[in-house]
Amino acid sequence: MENIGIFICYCEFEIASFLDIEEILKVSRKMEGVKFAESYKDLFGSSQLKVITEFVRKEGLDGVVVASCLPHVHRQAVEEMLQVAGLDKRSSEVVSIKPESRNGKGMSGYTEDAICRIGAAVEKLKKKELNPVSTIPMVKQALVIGGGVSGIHAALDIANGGYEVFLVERTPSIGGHMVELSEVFPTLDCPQCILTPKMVQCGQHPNIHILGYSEVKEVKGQVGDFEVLVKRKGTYIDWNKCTGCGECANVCPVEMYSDFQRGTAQRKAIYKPFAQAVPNKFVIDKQGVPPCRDACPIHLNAQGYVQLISEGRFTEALALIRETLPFPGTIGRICVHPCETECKRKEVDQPISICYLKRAAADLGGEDGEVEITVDEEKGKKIAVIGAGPAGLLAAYDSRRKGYAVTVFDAFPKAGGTLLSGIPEYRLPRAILEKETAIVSKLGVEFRFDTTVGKDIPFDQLKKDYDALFIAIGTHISTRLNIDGEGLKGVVHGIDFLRMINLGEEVTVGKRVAVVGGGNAAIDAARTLKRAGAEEVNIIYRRSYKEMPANETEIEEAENEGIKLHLLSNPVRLLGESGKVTHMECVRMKLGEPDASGRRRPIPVEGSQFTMEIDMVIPAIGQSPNTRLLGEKTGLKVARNGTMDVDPLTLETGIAGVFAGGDAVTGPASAVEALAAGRKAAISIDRYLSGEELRKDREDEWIKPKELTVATKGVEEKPRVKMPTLDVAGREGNFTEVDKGFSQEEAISEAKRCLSCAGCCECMSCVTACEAKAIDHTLVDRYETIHVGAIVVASGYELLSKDLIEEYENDPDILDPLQFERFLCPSGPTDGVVIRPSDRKTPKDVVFIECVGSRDPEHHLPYCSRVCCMYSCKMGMLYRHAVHDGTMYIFYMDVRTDGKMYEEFYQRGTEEDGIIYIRGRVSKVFRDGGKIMVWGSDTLTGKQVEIAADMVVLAMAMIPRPDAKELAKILGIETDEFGFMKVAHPRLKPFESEVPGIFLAGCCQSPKDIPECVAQSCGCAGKVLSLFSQDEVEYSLPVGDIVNV
Amino acid sequence: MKIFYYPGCTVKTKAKNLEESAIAAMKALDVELVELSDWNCCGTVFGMSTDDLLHQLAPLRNLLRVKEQGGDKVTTMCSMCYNTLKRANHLIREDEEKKNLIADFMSEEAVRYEGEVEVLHLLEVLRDTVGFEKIKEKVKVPLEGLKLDPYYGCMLTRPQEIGIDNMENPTILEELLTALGAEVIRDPMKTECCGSYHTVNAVEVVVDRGYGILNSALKRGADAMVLSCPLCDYNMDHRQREIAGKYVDFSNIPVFYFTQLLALALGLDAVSGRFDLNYVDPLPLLKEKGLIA
Repeated sequence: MENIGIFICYCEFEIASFLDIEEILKVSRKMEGVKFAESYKDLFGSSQLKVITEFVRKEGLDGVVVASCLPHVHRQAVEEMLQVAGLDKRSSEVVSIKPESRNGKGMSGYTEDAICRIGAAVEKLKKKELNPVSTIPMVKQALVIGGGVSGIHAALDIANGGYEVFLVERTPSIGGHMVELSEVFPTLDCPQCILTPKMVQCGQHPNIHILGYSEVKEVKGQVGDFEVLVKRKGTYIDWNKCTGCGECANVCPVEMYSDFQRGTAQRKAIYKPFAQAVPNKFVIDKQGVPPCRDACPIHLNAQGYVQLISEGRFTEALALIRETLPFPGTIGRICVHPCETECKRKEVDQPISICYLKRAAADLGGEDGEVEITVDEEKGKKIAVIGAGPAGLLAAYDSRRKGYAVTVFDAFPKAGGTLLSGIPEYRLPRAILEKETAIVSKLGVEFRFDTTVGKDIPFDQLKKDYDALFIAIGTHISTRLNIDGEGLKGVVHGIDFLRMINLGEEVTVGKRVAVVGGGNAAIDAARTLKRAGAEEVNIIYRRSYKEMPANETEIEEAENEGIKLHLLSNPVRLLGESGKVTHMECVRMKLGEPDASGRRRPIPVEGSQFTMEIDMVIPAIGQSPNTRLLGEKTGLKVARNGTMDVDPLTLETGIAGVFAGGDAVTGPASAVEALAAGRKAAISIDRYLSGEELRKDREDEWIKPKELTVATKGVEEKPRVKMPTLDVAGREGNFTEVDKGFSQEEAISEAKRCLSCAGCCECMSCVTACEAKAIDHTLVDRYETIHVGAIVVASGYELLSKDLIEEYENDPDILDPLQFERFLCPSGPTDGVVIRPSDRKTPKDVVFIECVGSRDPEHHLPYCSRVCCMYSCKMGMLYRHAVHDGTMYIFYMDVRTDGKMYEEFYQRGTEEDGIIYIRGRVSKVFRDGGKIMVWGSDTLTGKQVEIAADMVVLAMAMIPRPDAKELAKILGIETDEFGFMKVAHPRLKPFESEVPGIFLAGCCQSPKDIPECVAQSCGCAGKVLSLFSQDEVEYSLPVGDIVNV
Repeated sequence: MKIFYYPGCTVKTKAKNLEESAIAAMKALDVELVELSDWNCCGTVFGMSTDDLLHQLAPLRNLLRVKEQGGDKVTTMCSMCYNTLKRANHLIREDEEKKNLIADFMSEEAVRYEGEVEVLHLLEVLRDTVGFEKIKEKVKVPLEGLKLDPYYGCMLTRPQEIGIDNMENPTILEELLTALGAEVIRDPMKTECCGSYHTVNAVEVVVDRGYGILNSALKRGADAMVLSCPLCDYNMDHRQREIAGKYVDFSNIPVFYFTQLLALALGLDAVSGRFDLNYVDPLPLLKEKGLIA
């Protein structure tokens, strides 16, 4: 363009008093390519505007720059004038010359800015190429984001206009906050009555597709054709089959925070938010993998059985355990329970007693807890397992179930391995061990006891006779102390001693005994000695209490039984007479820097020797596997510490078909780790024998799940239930089990402490309960792409959290207004009976505090939340209607009743319903016994006010939804400093966003009452419908305004 | 480490137990409090009139002394001194015009003060310089079994721009006392006004306030109150005589400066704590809890 005209619009108030218009004209006229420049006072008056058309024609202009205020308001008028004159509307630029901020540049500065902008616009026009306008067809479908009262109305109006609407709602049901309300002002209609019919209409409308439990994740394209990616969150329920009957929720054992009830009541992990939900469908709330299950080496579903027990469903709990673990009675007694170490409950008080609850399931689950164990079709291949300890047993069990013929060889006369030889009977009664290991032989696994491989039968023979081998020989060689006198009579190593006692062999027990070591084997030996007749039992350990590897309860019980701990001590030599040990010389230790194991290294303290008089020494400082027993030339790789070298992923030993696992590989570890190895071996052996790749996808067998955030704040402390034990006197001289096991009541009470970290505990009760067979725990998130021509955003609001108000204590009887609504509401936790949460009594004095967080620029938010004055008055009325002798106080700054019939409503509240309004702010709210004291000032009388209230409600500020900023980013629209979405012009474009085709309704823009939300959503629908009256829309590239240079 | 400290008049007279225990405790933490030389009155109360710059000369002169003596920080243990010094400092840092005007008033001074000195309350030094974790490590006599009621009054936390902690719900004393091993009571009265200077000519105001505040502590099971301000201390501790005279149901409760308990927990003897200067004798309580012999 070469013949450009410049039109300057000015008024005294906004422009002329800051700019030198004459100067601008003078410079503009000299600009290259400018043919014409003139200024007009109020160019956009109806009679003035046509000068643009006139001069385009008269001067033969081919481009026009208009310099004025507010380009986005004026642009359209300029474009129309150009079209009248026969020019392409793109031949114009509208720039703002109104100083945006009075930044102190002065008139010459502002003038210079304006000239720069005009110059830039001229340059832009000169270079502009007017390509032919292309259009795209209008996709006549709309997207409505948010299913609250605004979204519902927008969707209905567009659908009634004849176009299809996708209504995306984040939660499982539409309804928004409005369905949480009791009655609405000023008419006191019940939302259940006035909104639910609209919700049902939405649900049944042929043009409305409700995408419930979904979120918008990506938006591309432009007005006329937006491509929208919608995340359909995993419901784990096939909604085509779900009838909404609720049988599943009846059997679900997990209670969770209910959003709908605002925490005033719980819901189940499988739920629909409220009775009138639309769609009338259930979803399952899965948060991930609970830390207990993650920590368990065999990933036993701890939360699942704990929660079943919390409902007294022991049989189901036992069945759930047995799906993964065939030996719950055994493991439930002796496990080192890494699950409890990770349990989130420890952030409140102490972890859940998960291990003992497993035993409770085994004890109390009855015989019905036996799950039917199936064995696959015989595969015709043979597996030998060496060692009938936990690793060997589970490998045999799993392999047998897969259809292999399995033979287990063991040197001992019975099954159990270290469980049999190492764990004393007072911890694990042999009847339990026998009963549970018998499960394996019942499956058809052959056992050859009293058979030592390498001695009774050559290792090579096994390799020949069997298709695969699993070595799980445990660690049965005791680590030597390597000090003088170890060969004396009376020195018996811990595992040998325990084996002799546990297998009923003859053993001489000393009177004064020293046990060396701090692990479970040491404690087991010490407690066994006490029972076998030793008078004085001492434990010598070289580190401190904190470093002792034994279970804490075991150490405590040992002390209870009179066993003495000598910490930070280490034996240096053993002295004897006539070949028999009589004394032990020890040295005191101190702790130095941490060593490779992370524990602090013990260092001897010089000159601190002391001597103990003893007649028996039991070293229990370590164990290693007896691999030599298998033969000298087996070809098996052994590490320096004596353990076997295997591939950690597959447990392959390097010899084809030979695998190894358990303590023999790891060194002395826990039974549950050995079980995990056995299970892993069974998978490897199955793959090996089926000719499958052994390594493929093995890393994915268990991926470390993301850490769950669990609300522990405000959870009432309730220490774990203590395991009832045999009294100390009753333990003497016998091996009766010490832990008596939980009673039903104790187990239930303990299980109820579970915080339900993962939400759904995957107990699968719902799957059985669902008659429609709708539940499928594999239905995860999926994504859907839809095309729409226009978008209405109605993402709503949230309340500022009352936890942020530091001057008010966190108290159960201090509520936010939506919580109070729940107590006033017939669909609430008390069916509309007003109570206070702490003691469920009727509150007689209720204080409402206005503007909490709102109108508080110093600490929180400067804006007014608009609806609090009215809803407080409404709730005051409802409260007075429900509690006739109650008093409602409202502390206010001023009462804002800016709507039709609102002032009258407020008058009714004060005059008819006797709400007491106190003008003034509250300085302090605190608990004083059964009352909540409210201190404030009455600024009308100038007096201090003190109210002893039963309940306090804080009218919290309304804020945008926490994810509103993210949604705005996805949509490419702006938000204000608080996160509310910004409209193009607050007065003239009250529901258009800056992006054409995206409209904003309701509280996503700013706090609003219901009538205004509805009016806005209908307005948005009107905009969408008028857009859809066009069949095509211009293909547009994004255009920016010239705002600054 | 050395740090300048500004005592102020009360610490040298009525609150010697605050000063002496503070110096001893800080020494045990390897911090030497070096008394500022040639200090004068802090100004006592921050001038609130719009045109009262003269009132700021006293606090600013003290800060000028710090600068002259080569310091960039000064700590004080009296809440009132802290408030006055810090606010005067804040005023001239924020208001160029007033700073210049005050400099003109002080033209006879050899050096011009520009607001360079940092004013710290001793609690801030403990929190930010020494660190509560470090203090926890150095505790020799954990205050186990002692239920303490922290009391802040107003001067430490208000106005917000000079407060050492959240003004609505400060927790710095709680954190310190927890580090010392004590059990802390949550008392909503902790930020209430002690009655302040009404103690001079309207004792009954102070008596009523003290009764309410101390009773709240007693009702919540506190063994003692812990505070930092000498004026609060006077009103809460010494005025218990008048409170007991007016309210027959009132029972005495020991009141400590935080520095006294800090000294005790760090293993210093009862003499360093100067418990003899407290009105309500705290020794029986400390003996009962086994904290002193």
